[in-house]
Amino acid sequence: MFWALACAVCSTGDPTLVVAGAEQPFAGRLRSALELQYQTHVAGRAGVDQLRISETRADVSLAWAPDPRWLLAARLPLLDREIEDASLGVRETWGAGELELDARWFVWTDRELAPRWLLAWLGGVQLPTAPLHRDAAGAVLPLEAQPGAGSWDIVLGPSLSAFAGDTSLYASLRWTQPVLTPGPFEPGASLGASLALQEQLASWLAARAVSELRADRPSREQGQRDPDSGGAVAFLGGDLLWSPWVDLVAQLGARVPAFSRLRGAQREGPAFRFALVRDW
Amino acid sequence: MTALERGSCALLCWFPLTACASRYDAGIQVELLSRQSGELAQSTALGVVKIDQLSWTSSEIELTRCPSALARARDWLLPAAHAHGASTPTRLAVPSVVNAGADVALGELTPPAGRYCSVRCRIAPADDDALGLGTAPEMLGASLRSSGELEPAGSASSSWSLQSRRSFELSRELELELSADQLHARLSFGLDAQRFREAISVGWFEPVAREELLIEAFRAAFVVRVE
Repeated sequence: MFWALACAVCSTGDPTLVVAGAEQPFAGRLRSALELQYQTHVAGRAGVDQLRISETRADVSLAWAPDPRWLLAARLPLLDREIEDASLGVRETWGAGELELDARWFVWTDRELAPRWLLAWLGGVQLPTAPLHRDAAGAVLPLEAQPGAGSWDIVLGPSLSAFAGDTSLYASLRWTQPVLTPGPFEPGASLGASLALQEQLASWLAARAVSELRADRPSREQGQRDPDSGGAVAFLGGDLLWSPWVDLVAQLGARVPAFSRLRGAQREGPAFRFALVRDW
Repeated sequence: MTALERGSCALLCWFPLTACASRYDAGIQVELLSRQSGELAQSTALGVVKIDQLSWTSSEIELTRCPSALARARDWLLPAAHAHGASTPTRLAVPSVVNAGADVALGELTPPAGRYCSVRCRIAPADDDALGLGTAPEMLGASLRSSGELEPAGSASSSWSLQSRRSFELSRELELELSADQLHARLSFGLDAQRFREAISVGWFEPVAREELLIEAFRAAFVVRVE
């Protein structure tokens, strides 16, 4: 009873703990999130042109629902990349990534209060807010070292949320299409898919099993196709969500690559995530 | 302050942290330079040959890895031609005019860690943008050039010059292991003075085949040292 009276999220009629980006809207809902992620990636041939990349990113986001049908969001990644090249030289770049502004339109819900099914459509744009990094001689660093590709991208995709007692499901597709590439890089279109099954273990604790798929078209650099780009990779993982106090959700999780059909010489490493999500 | 204002402030407060920067800690570096020591003059049956100038155009320098057994088999079955013209971490393709009388920095390579067993050098005619052409304009279009004086015993000296426009390659074996424990190395390119002197003969001053003799002397005397 105390929970129902105190928490902003209970305005949805469902106290399920949810991660950033999967929230149910209600008029005036305002939610901010700080998501931290560490991941490694290897591209290129060992002893020839291999790059070993460690990326730490912090995504800062704010979502606001003007009414129960719409959720508007802004997301800015801050990136720190450490790249060891084949000559054992280490380059570190850090700075802002590309700002994403999007709107999620809840096309259909099965009922007004505490909906069990929510079908939504995402539309948004990624802006080329990331600066172009150059080396000391003024040459543009490779795409792997850049916090963004410098392109204007359109983001589209549906999502489905389902709630059945303590169990919930979230599935989404996300298509990213570069439309303007004024810089030296031409990123390929990208399709992301995620499927999460969540079990609410207690009012303050939930566990999620997650699978994520990413399929990219090859990118081009300085007009040349990058042979070590594009392809598909799938991750499996899990998260623990807990609410240390009302309106705050903490998330701790990991993903491991389970399937990889990346083109050329590429290898993804595991990813570790920690997030704090706050309802205001 | 409303919830929206508080949230906006929380987001905007991040912007001072978004200043971008980058730094680079260099890894393996192989410095390339030309270095000459020793007197190149030689006494011949025609008199003392003095060399005032000996220059060549270093067109490409490439480090070659020690081949694995598998790579040796592959190269034997599928011999590959060298690609020319572009610099890579193991290849410097910056044409530079080298004067045997002066130390010249040729450039730097940043090769991957590993063992390297040979270095390949290409000598080719200098084009307009070859480095060092300003102090040796006579090298334009030349790959190798030498000039000096012949001082016959008891008579007046006469000047001579030999020049080649041919492209040719030289390969020298070396032992070079680069790793996190050995990040820096220096390769020096030059001529073994004694071998070069030994190659100077009366044939240099005959009207035919002099270009070939100069190239042969250069081939015989060219050395690469790991410092």
